Amino acid sequence: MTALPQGPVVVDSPFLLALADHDPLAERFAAVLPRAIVTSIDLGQVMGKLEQRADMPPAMSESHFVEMLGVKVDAVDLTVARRFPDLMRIDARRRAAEHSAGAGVSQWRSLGDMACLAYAEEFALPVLTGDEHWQALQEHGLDVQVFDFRDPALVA
Amino acid sequence: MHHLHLVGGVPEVPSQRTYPFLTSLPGEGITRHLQPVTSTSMRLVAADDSPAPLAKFQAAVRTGKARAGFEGSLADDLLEERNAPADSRP
Repeated sequence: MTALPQGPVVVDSPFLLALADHDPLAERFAAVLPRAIVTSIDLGQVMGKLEQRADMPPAMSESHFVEMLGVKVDAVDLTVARRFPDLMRIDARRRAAEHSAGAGVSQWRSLGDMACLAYAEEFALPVLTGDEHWQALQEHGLDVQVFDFRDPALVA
Repeated sequence: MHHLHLVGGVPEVPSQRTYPFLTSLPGEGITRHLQPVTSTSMRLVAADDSPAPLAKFQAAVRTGKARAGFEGSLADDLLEERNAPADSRP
């Protein structure tokens, strides 16, 4: 079993969406919310998806996450954005490796991916995501602790 | 029974922006915590032991999904967009 580290945790859009969606794997980590940080970009991604697929006004989803559930939202400033090029180089190495292995190459990466990973890297914080592709980035130089909420061996 | 916990270092009453959440407490049956936002304001957030805010949110999402006619996983829907093969994107 692996335990999610204590202290602040950066949460990625798929985790918040899964939690909103009553996903039992995500609900195991509901207690993390009061110490969770989401970038404003990732929260925007969540609000967009909730409006698109669950007909929820963005102000309502923002209110639920921030006011009711206590998730802290932080902006992506220049110090975080400066990490984007390095992340893009890491992903280029990952794509080259996948291509060499004959695997289907997935596209980098939404702005939400980069914002979340760059923020976590800048502040040396762990990330809770549902994106299994991020594990592969660690093999190519990503210096962030990545935890997948769908991992059955992961505990809060 | 409702519990309000003052987190250390909060010197004043809540700001006008956060005050309405105080007035909504008695009828909601929700345990919340006060947390400082700035040196002169604080906000109320759900405590770890209170599933009510999350359950309400999930119920609203479930209703909204039914109204929108979407039955899939919201997280997977986003991940499919994120991780689409490079040659399938416009």
